[in-house]
Amino acid sequence: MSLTYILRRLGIFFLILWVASTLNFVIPRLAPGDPIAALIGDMEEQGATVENSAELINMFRERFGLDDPLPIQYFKYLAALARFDLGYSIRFFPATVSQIVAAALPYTIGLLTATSLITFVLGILAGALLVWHTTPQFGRAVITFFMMLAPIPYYLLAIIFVSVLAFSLGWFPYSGVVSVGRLPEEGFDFGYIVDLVYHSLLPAFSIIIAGVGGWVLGMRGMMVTVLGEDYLTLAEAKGLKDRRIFLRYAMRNAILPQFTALAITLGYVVSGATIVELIFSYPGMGLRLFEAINSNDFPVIQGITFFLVVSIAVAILIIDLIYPWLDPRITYSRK
Amino acid sequence: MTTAFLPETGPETAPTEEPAIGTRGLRASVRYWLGNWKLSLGLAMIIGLTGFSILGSYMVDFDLTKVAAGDFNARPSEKYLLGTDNVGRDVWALIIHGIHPSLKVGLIAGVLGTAVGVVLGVVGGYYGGNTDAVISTMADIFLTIPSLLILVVLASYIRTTTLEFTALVIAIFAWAGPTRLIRSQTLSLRERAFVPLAKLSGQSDFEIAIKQIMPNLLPYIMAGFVGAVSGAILALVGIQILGLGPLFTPNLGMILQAAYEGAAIFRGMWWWWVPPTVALMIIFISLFLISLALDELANPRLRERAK
Amino acid sequence: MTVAIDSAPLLQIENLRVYYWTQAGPVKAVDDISFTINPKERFGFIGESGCGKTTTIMAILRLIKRPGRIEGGRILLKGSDILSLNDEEMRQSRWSRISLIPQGAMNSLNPVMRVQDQIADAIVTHRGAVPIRELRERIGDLLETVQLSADVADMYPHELSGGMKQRVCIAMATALEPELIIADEPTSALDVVVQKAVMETLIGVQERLNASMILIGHDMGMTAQVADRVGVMYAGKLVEVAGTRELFRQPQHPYSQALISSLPSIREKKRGGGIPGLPPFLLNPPQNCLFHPRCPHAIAFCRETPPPMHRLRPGHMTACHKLSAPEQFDSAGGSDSGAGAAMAGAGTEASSGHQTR
Repeated sequence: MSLTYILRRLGIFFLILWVASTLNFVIPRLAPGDPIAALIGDMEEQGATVENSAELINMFRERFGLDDPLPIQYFKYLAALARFDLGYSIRFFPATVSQIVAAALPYTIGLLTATSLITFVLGILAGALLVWHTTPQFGRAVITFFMMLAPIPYYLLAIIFVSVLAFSLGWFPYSGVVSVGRLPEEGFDFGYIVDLVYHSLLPAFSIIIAGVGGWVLGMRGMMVTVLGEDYLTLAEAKGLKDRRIFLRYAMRNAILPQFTALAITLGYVVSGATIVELIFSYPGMGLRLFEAINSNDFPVIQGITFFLVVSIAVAILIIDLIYPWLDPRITYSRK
Repeated sequence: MTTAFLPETGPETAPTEEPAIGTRGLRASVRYWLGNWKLSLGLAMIIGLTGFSILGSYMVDFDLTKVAAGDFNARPSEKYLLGTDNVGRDVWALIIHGIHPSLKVGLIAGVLGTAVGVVLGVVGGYYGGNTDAVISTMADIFLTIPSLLILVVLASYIRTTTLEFTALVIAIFAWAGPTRLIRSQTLSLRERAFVPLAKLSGQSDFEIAIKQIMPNLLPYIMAGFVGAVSGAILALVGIQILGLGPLFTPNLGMILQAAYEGAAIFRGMWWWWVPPTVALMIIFISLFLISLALDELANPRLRERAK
Repeated sequence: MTVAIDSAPLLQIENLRVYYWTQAGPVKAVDDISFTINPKERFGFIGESGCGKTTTIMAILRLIKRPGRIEGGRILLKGSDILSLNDEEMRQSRWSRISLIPQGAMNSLNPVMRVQDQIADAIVTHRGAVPIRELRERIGDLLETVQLSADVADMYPHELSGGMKQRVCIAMATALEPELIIADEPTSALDVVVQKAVMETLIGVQERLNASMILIGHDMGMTAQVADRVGVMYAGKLVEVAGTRELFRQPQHPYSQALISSLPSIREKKRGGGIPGLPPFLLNPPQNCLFHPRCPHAIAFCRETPPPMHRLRPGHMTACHKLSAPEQFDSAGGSDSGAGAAMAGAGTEASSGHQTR
């Protein structure tokens, strides 16, 4: 892997962070008036009592440097972000945004990592099998069914799951991350982990089933192209076993563009997952985001957005750094 | 050399490599479209739903969608075809008056996103170089950033807006997908023989872009448009479920959000949350079918093989 | 160049038919052809593109894909019909008995596997696991037989030139010492200087293995120099089979005559003439003798009766009524001038078709 490739990928990593945080900076300033005062004023109007409101306002004014000219504000803001300093939550003052995010992030990252990997692997395999000549008719029918679920959004699927599987049938819990009042015991608590996984199953299913179809579709398209390649004919002429041709020659090549697609769809998956979390009251970033929206806790809204973007950018960076290892041509063709 | 092991004679191999250029290809495409069940079904579903909503709007009193227009939490009956919600709005009226505004948002954002995408995609793909590098990097980044979250930030500052304004906001992210798609196709079209030929015959870059490249991009432009519309509706409903949508015009996302907030599922009020869910599914599935058909048009290898 | 006639043939093709089933009906890509290949023999196929050469060899490997299907005939390899093998037996016969040097060597290597792994794949599949050191050594030796350095084993296809890729394909094709090597335009994608060297390498390994070879050449001159015997195909039919020298000096079938006279000859310093007309559209081919619409000698009899494969003399077969039923031509009073004249006008245009390919 060449150094220029790594540098280029790092550049894109920071570019993503920069664009996202700049949007985060610009948007509040597009709103008319002093955002902080207006915000706290809003809350008081709605009857919420904000303790230490004067102190809060000063703290925010200072941190945002709202009296500085805009460019200075902007650089101060970027400098603060670089230290992961996102200020204080309005609702839970004096808790910092970073503390709130830190409490929620592991659930979201855990849920997303597990479901993304499962979705990707299942979708890729199913998509490849869909056009492979030895796949039985029944298998194709099942895969086609899941492919047809591709357009259904995460949240609709989640709503249907909650209603049918959790509410009507009672097979799954419909909220929370563990049973009410369940706390981990000292040492290794297997039961706790089981409970945790059990509570994550339904949100995970929603994300997986809503996502698999898209991968099936993408992989199917790529496989069809690869099936026409000369190296597949030669592999067959070589008398290789069917499974080996499928895995090492066909799938191995068709999978490459899917990795690029994986990086691009992460943002979409994260967006969807936040709403799924909300529907299942799963205490990750999505639920916190919803709570923050309902209490006008702007620093938390921005902080959650920022940290999710950081997570996605990190995931993309990882994918990009793995990619040359999967495709030996990459170092040479891209300078 | 791509056709190396294809049958040497089969006439069915001939049209696969080229897009629809010339009358013969065009006629074949039209015939293909008419016979494609995905396209017909998708179009029938979306046109049917739109027609149902627009015609219905003239027949069902809009006042029924207002708070306290009827009984609260009523089950479906002769009086209330789909019951009422927890503030006395008639769900049947809400659905009829709510479908077309939701589609309108998709349409506005889709048109804007596609228009920007076509311009940027053709420019980037045709001129290449630094212009292309900037355009495609920005498109990739905008695709990567979870648009819903940025929209949430935006919507949380600018509350209580109109649907049209929300559509404009969604369009900020709707251009990236079409741009990427159009760019890669322009790039490959540029390499085809007819572009250098047009150049030799003295056409300007602009003429080539309009006369030579655009017609061949048509299936991709339509695919990009369908994708942008679907993405916009997806984002709109997502924002609304989070409680950040426009509240005054009845629309599908709003009904769904109200049903969620009102715990419709746990109160067994299926008539409240099922209709908007079904309507949204019809929208997404029909757009999906149309885009599948467009995919097959653009990439004939995906077509179901003749026996 | 003489071939031991007395030994039993290695490969016997009998009445092979391969059709592609299109929506508009069957395309008879290979229609009832028969020929034999003797041990150690190099057999060349010539004919315009689309005449069924590649389909024929793909049928021998049983790699015809839908919508194509082998409709009938027998393919006897050392006396046993490979069309009667089950899929697993066929898989085992591929490469260990019949190997392929593909047409598109440029794209025939898996871009994400090292050369060594691609050759090892073939060896391990058929011969079972081999200790890695032994395997490396064997692959190194194989690469040396095709004048490549052993280092190539660790390279990826994109790091190789076209000629090197073609040599890798040759090395791979000989890895299991098959009885029959099929080379489908093995040099078509290479530049002229490399072509000759690669062809020499190919002949070298084939002779060393005592294998037979089927050679499809895009370059008739090359085929003339290399092959022992040559078959001429036209529109899915084999129209003439003869020893190379005999065929190129005295082609008997009117199509062979036209094809061979289209060759530019250095000695005579003139450009060859073309063949009037175009190859037939196989969905709706002419009846009986497929060549009659383009044939200067065609008579009504040619349109009405299919020409049988006729043995002119030992080792020279051809399918033309003029040679098998000359009496018909006497009674018809010479050539059907109508068809000949009609075609003469289209002649100059069509000549480039097979030459530039």
